[in-house]
Amino acid sequence: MTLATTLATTPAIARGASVLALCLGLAGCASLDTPIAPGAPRPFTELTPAPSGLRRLSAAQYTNSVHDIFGDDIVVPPASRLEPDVDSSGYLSVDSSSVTISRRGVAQYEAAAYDIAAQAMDASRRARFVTCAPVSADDAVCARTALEALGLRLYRRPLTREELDAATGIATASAAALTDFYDGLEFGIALLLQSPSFLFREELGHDIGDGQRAYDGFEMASRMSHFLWNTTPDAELLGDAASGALDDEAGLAAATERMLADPRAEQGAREFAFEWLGLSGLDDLVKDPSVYTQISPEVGPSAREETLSVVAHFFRTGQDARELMTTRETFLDRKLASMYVVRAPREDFGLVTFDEDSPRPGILGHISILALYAHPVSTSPTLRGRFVRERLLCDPIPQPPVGVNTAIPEPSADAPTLRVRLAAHQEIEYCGSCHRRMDGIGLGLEAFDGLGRFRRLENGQPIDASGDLDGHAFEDARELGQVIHDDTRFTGCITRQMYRIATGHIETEGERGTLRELRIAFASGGYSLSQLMESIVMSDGFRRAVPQAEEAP
Amino acid sequence: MSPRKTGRSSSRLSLSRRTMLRGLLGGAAVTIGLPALEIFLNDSGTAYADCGTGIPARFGVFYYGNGMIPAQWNPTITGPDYDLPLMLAGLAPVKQHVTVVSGMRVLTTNTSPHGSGPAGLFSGADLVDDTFVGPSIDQVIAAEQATRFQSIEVAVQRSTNSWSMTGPHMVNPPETNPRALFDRIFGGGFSLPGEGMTDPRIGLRISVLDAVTDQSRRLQSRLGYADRQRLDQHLEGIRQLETQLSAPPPDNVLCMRPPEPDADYPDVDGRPQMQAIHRAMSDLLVMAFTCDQTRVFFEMFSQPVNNTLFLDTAAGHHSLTHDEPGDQPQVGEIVQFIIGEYAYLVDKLATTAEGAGTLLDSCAILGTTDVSYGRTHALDEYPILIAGSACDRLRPGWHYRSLTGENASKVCLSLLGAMGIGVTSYGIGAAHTTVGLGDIEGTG
Repeated sequence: MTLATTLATTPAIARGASVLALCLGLAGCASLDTPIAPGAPRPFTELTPAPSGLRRLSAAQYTNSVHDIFGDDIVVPPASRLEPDVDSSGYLSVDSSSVTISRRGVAQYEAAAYDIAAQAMDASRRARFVTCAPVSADDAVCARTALEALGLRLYRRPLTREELDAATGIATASAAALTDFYDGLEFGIALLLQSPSFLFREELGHDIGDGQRAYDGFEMASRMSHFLWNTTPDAELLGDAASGALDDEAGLAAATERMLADPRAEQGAREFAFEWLGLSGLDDLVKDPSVYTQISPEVGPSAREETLSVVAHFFRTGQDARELMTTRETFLDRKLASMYVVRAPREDFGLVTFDEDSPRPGILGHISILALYAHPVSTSPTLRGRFVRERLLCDPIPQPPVGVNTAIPEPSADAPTLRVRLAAHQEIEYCGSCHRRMDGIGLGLEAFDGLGRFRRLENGQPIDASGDLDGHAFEDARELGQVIHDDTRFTGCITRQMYRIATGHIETEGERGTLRELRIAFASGGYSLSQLMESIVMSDGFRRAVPQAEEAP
Repeated sequence: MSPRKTGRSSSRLSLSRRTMLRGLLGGAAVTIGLPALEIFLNDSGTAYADCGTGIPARFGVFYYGNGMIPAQWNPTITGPDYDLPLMLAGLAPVKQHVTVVSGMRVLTTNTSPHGSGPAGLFSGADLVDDTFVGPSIDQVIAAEQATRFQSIEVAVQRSTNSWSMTGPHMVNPPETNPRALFDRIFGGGFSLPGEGMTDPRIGLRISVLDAVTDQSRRLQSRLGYADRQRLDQHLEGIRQLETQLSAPPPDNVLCMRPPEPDADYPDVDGRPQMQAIHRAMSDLLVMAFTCDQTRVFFEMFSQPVNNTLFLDTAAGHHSLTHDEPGDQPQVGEIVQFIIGEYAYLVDKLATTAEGAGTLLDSCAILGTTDVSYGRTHALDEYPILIAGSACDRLRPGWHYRSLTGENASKVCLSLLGAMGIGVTSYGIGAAHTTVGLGDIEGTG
């Protein structure tokens, strides 16, 4: 379970008051999401992009890259034996720009490198990587040829002469020592796999004047493939980079369109959904089995697969992303179907359409979100409300004040339901000022228990799931979904979070104009996720940078 | 190398075994038979002499999440005959080894309900940009170590998160599975005297690491400040791995390869096997000390804000701290259980022989959590336990009560002094101190 999972499932650790800093201040948030009248002036078009720098591969990107480069039949060590992802910012892509490699991580990457290199040099596979016939154990020419080709893929750019010399030197010296060409080449490959140029994406940019930088073709290829595919560039994209095709708008657009049409693009869409909705905690869902008898270890991962499948479906079909809050279409396995009390599809994660009178509001009615944003033995309107505020509306909630009593009243004959108990809590002004903004929304989901199953009663009392979201009344969860669907902040919030995940940083003041343009493009594209992805790649904010500070702040 | 020059300051040892190994490369089987670490010899050359001169000081942190209740934790009697309120009841068998420090205050601004306390205590400053501003105290000590592992991090509750940080955004991910911990310390790279490492690949692997170092340095020259810092950490990790690869076998007859723990500890009725996992890990950490594989560990028993279902309680731990009414008997039961597990670790160290005494004699094991009163996220009355005397440099078996809400950084400065770290201050801003807490310091 990552830090952000802890954050997602429970009140925050380690985020501090800087939840607010995720945004540009409340005023800034509001202005970003205010609709713009056609023809109105655009005050924020001057871009001051974010600093360039290194991004460490996520565990998934590491695994995907190895499979793409060495073959799907290579067994990559499980994520538990790779440096874990961090998401103290709420997005592991953003933390990828600040994390390093721990001492344990160095050892783990080393072990993984030899494991992978040995598999690659297995007699059954070596011909994929060695097309020359070595004339001796320490045939430097043949080793160099193999390492040059692999190096291009692993470093996502051609190796420098120095780098190629070093790798070749390691391979031939090792081959001489071990008296076998392929055994020696393993060490050369292991060097490439442990290099910071593989483990980190070097996206540094080059000076284009006015204190700004632009990413070159290879850097753009890396940015594009990790965002759109969640993996390394393929040979064709590296070819585009080498030919200069990615240096102009037309070439960039053509490459992006090809990539979005590639099956790998679904990996990118799923990674976006995973980070956006904070679903990593589903691996370690804590539910009391005496309260939730249907809980089992596969519920969390299955529920996550359902939600990712729905977002991937929207991505593939270009369906209006606002309908994520209203859709009745979903993808279930047998376990989930039994929990939703619907007929299971013929194949696991086949399409299921809920009845028209289903109470579930799109992905907001998914077991993934309802169970994750709840407690081990109960629901949590607060956690669910905070999820809606922060992840769907980009309306951050400050940390609770310290030194105050945080208890809510126990259930009693006078207060049988959580709604009544929370109401008492909200009367305390220093609690109520924030809790009203969360609990009122979360109570709209009270018809789903802490595991996400539908219920009509709580402690024998009928559940009242009505409420209002910033002046828009709803009677139940479906209407709540419709209110969010209709809220312009929802699509603005998707735009902003996809941009964070794509660029690996929290947007700055200087990127307001870029975000405004992206929001307009998202709307004019009918809120198609794939079009938004393309717009982000084409945006100046994705293609330009400023240099990182040379000296300590 | 001259590790004994002051007895209290173990300056970073630069054991240049790599130089030796280099001469042995070229395909020949490399047998590493290096002399015993000088640090383990006293002036007359006998191994394992006295604590502090021959036997190194060691440091551990036992951290759990979600705080305590001061009225159920703080003893009312000060000095050596202190009483054990409900939450500390489990300390009874090891009380003579454990000092309770009560009434201290973590002087950070408390912006993050479960983050400001650990940040303040462990790094001496509040969180900035969601992270520590500098290394955590265990890593300040770890940086001075030349053992096979500069430090070992573990977590009993499954998580990749830890408060052990080598710097901003530089978390040390913990081992969460006892078998993985065993593999890391006592698996492939570990050998007992006489087992002799004869793997020709080790020398080649070190050559590869040297080449990685070259590449990392070249890349650094093109980077800004923040990224250079990140690669410094990568380079440090490479150096540590090279140390590990060329480490000599442990030179202590009491060192044995421990039994391999179970591969998996599945939840039972939805509840994690916290006790079994903790005890398996504790046993491994104790043997790691005996074998001098490390001198520093950091244990995240449970995470901040964790909603773990402990024992037979009716809700998750964090929920209970906020919502359980009255005196919170279930919270009391959970914390009592957790402190009992701290006592297990202390007892294990106190019953493992070393030199003329036990392992615990050389240790300081800090036990703490993220807030004092969980329900209000308070940072006064901060809970602090210290087990062991760190070779008589700390006073064990004592209850010190601060009546003035003193700066908790004082405790950390005393701990660093006891570990022979030559720093003269701890903490930033309001948490800054240049004096330790004399009442908990020893005579050594």
